[in-house]
Formats: sequence, C-alpha cells, structure tokens
Amino acid sequence: MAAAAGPRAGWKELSLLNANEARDLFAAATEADPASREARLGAAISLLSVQPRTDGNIATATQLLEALRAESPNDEEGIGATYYLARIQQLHSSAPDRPAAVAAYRELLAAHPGNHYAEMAAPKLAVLLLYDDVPRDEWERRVAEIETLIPRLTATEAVRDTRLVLAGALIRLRRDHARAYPLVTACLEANLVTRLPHLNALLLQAAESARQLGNTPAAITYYRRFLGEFPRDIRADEVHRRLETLEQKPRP
Amino acid sequence: MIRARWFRRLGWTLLAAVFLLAGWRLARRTLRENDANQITLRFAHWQLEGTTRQAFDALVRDYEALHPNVRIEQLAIPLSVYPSWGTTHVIGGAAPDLVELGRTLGGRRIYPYFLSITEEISRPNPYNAGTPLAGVAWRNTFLDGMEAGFDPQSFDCYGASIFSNTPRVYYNVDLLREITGQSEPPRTFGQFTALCRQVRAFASRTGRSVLPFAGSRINAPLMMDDLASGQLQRLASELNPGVYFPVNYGDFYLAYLNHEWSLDEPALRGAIELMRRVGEEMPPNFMQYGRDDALFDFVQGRALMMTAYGQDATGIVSQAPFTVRVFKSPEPRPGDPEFGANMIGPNAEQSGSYGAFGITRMSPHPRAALDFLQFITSAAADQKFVRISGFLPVIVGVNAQGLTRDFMPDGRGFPPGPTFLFSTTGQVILRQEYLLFGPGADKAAFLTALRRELPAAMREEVSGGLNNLTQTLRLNDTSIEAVHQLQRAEPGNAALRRKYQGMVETQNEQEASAYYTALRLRQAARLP
Repeated sequence: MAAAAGPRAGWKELSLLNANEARDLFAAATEADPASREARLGAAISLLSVQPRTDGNIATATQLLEALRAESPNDEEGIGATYYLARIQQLHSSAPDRPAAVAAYRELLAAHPGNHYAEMAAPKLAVLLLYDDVPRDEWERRVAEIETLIPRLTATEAVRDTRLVLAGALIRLRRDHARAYPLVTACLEANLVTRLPHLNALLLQAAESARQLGNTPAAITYYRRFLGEFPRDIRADEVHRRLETLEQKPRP
Repeated sequence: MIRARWFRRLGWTLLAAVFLLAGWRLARRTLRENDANQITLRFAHWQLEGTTRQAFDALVRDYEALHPNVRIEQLAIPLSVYPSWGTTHVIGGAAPDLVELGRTLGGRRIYPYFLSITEEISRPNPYNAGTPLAGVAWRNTFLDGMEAGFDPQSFDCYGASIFSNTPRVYYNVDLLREITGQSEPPRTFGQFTALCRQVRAFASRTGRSVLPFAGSRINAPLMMDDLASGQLQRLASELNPGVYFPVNYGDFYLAYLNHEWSLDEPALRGAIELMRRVGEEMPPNFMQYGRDDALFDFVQGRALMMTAYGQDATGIVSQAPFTVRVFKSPEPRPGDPEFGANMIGPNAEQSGSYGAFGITRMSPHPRAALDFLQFITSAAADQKFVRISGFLPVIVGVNAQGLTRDFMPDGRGFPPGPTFLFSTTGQVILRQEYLLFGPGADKAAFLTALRRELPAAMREEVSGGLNNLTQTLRLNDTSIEAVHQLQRAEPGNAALRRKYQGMVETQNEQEASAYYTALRLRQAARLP
C-alpha cells in the first residue's frame, strides 16, 4: 500500500515532521521503483530527521546523496543532492565542516545559476560568511561578495533572505544602518516578507534606521505602517510617542 | 428475621436499580455514538479555577441548542496530571477531539498528532457574522493575533485559545480601610513602601498578626520580576544594536558574557534593591512557602496584599470573607529620584493568550470540532465565558467584567526589560536569596555570589537554547524540502506556496540568529 502511494506520501509525512514514517514510505517507493530518483532523494533526506538521530543515519544519507549526484549531477535530484550534502556539512553533521559547506555553496551558485537549489544556497552562504570571527577587512570582502551575488539571484525567497541576512549582520555586528536600510526597505516595499513576527521586527527596524539616518518622512511611513499592522504590540504606545515627535519636527 | 429479609430485599432492589440505570446510561451513550446523525465531541483542559467549568458548560449548552445533533462533553483534568495524561492519550490515539495545548503538551513531539488550522485562521469566523468582527480573519479577531496556537517549529497554527492572564497585586479592601482609613491602593513604589510601614505600625499597635505582603516562591518572583524588568528598560534598550527597545534575555546574557554590562550598572543595583525591599515586606523565609501558603495567609486576613494571576481571581474572591480588589505592580516612575533614571516609562503590558485548544488527528469529527472551536472563540461566546469565568477577554471588542476589568493589560508605557527570574539563570539568582532577605542579609555577599554563579548559568542557558534551535533547524530543513516537493507536484496550490515561502523565510532568519549567538558565545569565551 505504501509503495503504491509513491514518493508523494513520503513527502506528505515528512512535511508533517513524521520522518520515521516518511523513511518507511520512501523505502517502499524505492523498492517498487528502483529507478525513481525522487524516491531515493526522499529516502536520503528523511534519514536526516529520523529519530533517534544517529551518525550512522547521517552517513547513510551522505552515501545515498553522493550516489545520486554521481549518477547525474545536473538533473534536479543531482543538484538537490549536492545542496543537501552541503547542508549536512553545515548543519546535520555532528562535526560540521564550515569551509567545506562554503565551498560547496559557492560551487552550486557558480555551476547552476537560477536553479532552485543553487538559489537556496545563497542565504546559507551569506550566513556562513558573515557570522564568522574574521578581521574587519576580510569581513568587508565577504560583504562585497554577497552584495555582488544578490543581483544575480532570481527566486523571490533567495533575493529576500540574502538581502535580509546581510542587513541583519550589518546591524548586529557593525550597527551600520546606512547600508542595512536599503536592503530592508527593498524587501518591505516589494511585500516579500510574509511571516508576521518577521514583518513586525523589520518594520520597526526600517523606521528606526530611517530615524537614525535623518530620513524623517520614511521613518514616519514605517512607524505608521507598523501601527497599522500591529496596533496592539507592546511597543505601540512608545511608537506613537516617537511618531508624534517626528511629526512635530520641521521637515528638511 | 422479617426485618432482615426486608433489608436484604431492599438491598437487592437498589442494586438492580443501580445496575439498570448504569446499563441504560451506557446503552444510551453507545446508541448516540452509533447514531450516524448524532455527534459527540469531547474536549479536555486543565483549567479548574473558580467557575471556569461552569463557563464552559454554558457555552456547551448554547452550542448544543444551535446544533441539536451535537453533544459536547467537557473533561477537566487536574494540572498535576495533565501533561502525562495528555501525552499518553494523544500519542496512544485515545485523546478527545479537542485538547488544551501547553504545559509541556506541545512542540515537535506532540504537534504531529494535531491538525493544522493555518488555512482556516485567515478566513472569517462564521460565528462573528452580524458583529463588527464579521469578515475579519479569524486570526485578527484575537487580541494577540492567535499567538498561543502558533508553532514556531512547523510554522503552523495548531489551536485557538480563550485563556489570557496578567499578574496583579490583590488587596484586602476592608483591612486597608481599617489600617489607613481609605480604600485606594498605592500607585507608585513610594506609596507602596509607605503603606507597608503603616501596616507594620498597625500590627505593632494592635498586636494583630498582619503582614504587608503574602509571599511564596511562586508569588514573590512575579512581583520582583515586574519591578526588576522596569529597571532594565534603558540598559537593555542601549544594548540593542537595531532598535531602541529592550533586547530579549538571551541577548542580555550574551552582552553580559561579552562584558558589555556588569552588576555594577545602576540598573542592576536598582533592580536588586527593589527586590530586596519587596522581600522585606513578606514573611521571613517566604521562598520556602508554596502558592497555597501565601493564599492562605491572604484569605485569612494575615496579609494585606498578595501577587497572583488573573485566573486565580474567582477562586480568591470566593474564599476571602472580605472585599478583594487588585492593582498593577506599584513600580517606580521615571521621575523617581532613586530608581527613575533607569526607566523610560511605566512597564507596558500586552495581552497574551495561552492554552490553545487543538484538534486531534484521531478525532472522528474534525469538522465539527473546528466548528465548536470557532463558536467558543466568537465574540459573543467569549463575552459569556468572560462573564462567568472571570477570565480576561481574548477577542477584540469583548468587555471585561467586574474585577476582571482591573486585569486588562495596560499597553501604556515602554516595554519592560528582560524578565528572567523564572529562567534557569533566574533560579541561580533566587538560590542566593538568603543573602538578600532577612536578618542575615548581606548585599555585598549577594553580589559576590552572583558574580561567581551568573556567567556559567548564562552560558549554559544560551547554549541550551542554541542546541534546541539547532535541532529545530535540522528538522525544519527536511520538512521544507518536503513542502517544496509537494508544491512541485501541485504548482497551482497557493496555500502550499505561501507555506513554503514562510518556512524558508523563518528558517533563514533563525539560522542567522543561531550563527550570531554562536559567534557571540565564541567571542565571549576568549575574554578574560
């Protein structure tokens, strides 16, 4: 019955965080159709979340992904396998290999521009490069690499998240509102931010950055938008006060 | 002899009657459950406070009147056994249709056993038709946007709540009038300490055993946290690199570990001093007392005031043989000469619901369960629930009743600084309380103990949070791929598309936070 359901039933279970059930369904689907690369990709990926988590499962997933990539590195499953091998090096392995993950993401972006998995790699690369303890000039070189990467991205999620990862790092690590502000507002103006808690934080960030940069009209716009979207937020009363102060200020 | 035979006959007759009655009830229930036109829904919760069960009964009767084919059964489970009861019933496949989530019943282990209602919360609640909330997305009819049912791990909503809570200081109006000649509570910390002095003078003058404040290890930190968090407003906002609002406690700890603030800050000294002064108004060794001890002192008239949550109101009022009222924590004001400089404004409060009802996957009637959930979270039902239970409203436009009005969150002011007395690090602080309160108090020794204990506790708490976040990121990584694949198979499915976009957005945001935390921990480890 599980085999008849095909890989889709496995993805359905995995989407509900039921990795053990998904693993069994993918195994049945692979047995029913050994040529199904989708089922084999599912089998490898579900192993990354099977409980209890073991190094053995991660190693088996790595082998399955390497086999998929070796067979056909340029089809969707092959590129997906390359991406998840990098994710294992970054996140799933009990001994992460940061330089290897960075190299793999760079390679994906160079080899498969516009591909779904390559675009997914962009914000991951930005996180790894920017949240690292390196000298200031090296950090600036990394910022430049991400800034160069952004215009080449096409997927909405990749553009949005790479910009926001960079903006977040500029604020958190350098308090650099001038460079972070346009990155945040580009996402807000295009309505790319979909999660409400994230929208809440970014609207305030944009308003505060605009205020610090002396852009009073923009600060007023973002504060107003914040109050419109989140009128009962615990910061709303203070935002009202800041808005009143800004509105009383003579416009430049 | 005849009498004995008569009693024996009576016994047998009663036994037969009881047997028949039980059989009839069982048969009636079985028949109803097997009747295709009859639905029985069961919902379970742990809210045994005051008149909560009666409030639910009233909603059930209203719903059954609207839907004669539906019968609702309420299962009220004591909180002490609720987590284990809930876990075994949910995982064992024997849970009722609706189960209150929370109190360790939730998270990635439990949510897969519940149905996501993410799609439904963007549509209007049909039971709000004809009211000002008609046409408003169900989510936006909640004062807090349905926060209680949202699972940040799976990015889905698993339930809706009708419970909300704020802490307040309860006071004995009759005793206050007897001591001071008036019934107005203190509004500022200065007025509060003056009142406490009056209470002690009254006790000394009359020989009556009356304390200003009832305290316990549960109630006392509520008040202390409230006062301390006000003192941290300015410092925690200055530590925020992005916006001038307080950082959360994790970033507050990271800043301490990176030597960006110390225990010598006026804000910390202010917070500790406020805790010390409040503790002095409580019974000696109050941290050894449980919640019921404090409640007993208060309802017996042996303490003028006590801090507790709004959900306790009906229980306290029903037990107290005197008039009870409440007031917000008497925090110092920004103009206070001793503590005001650390503050930006009074602590603002926000409505926060908890204990959402989730629909279990094993429910034979998920549509009916959803309908009942929408009914009890409609404006009209919440109004009735609030009136009978004394709980705070959670739905926009619903008015609080009587004493509950004084529990409504007051959003005026500035957000409080980090509250951490209930965290692991907070427990380390409270373990040193013997150095802060009582006759052997030694504030210098208290600070020395904190300097010794805090770094390890903070590091452990931040690292623990980072480990949990990493586990979540790993799980969601595979779940995101699954949704991507489902979306590839159904490119026209807008709901899947929205879900995918949101999952990726949150994953990348959380990954950046995790790497930032790890970087800050590494930087702190290098410091002397």
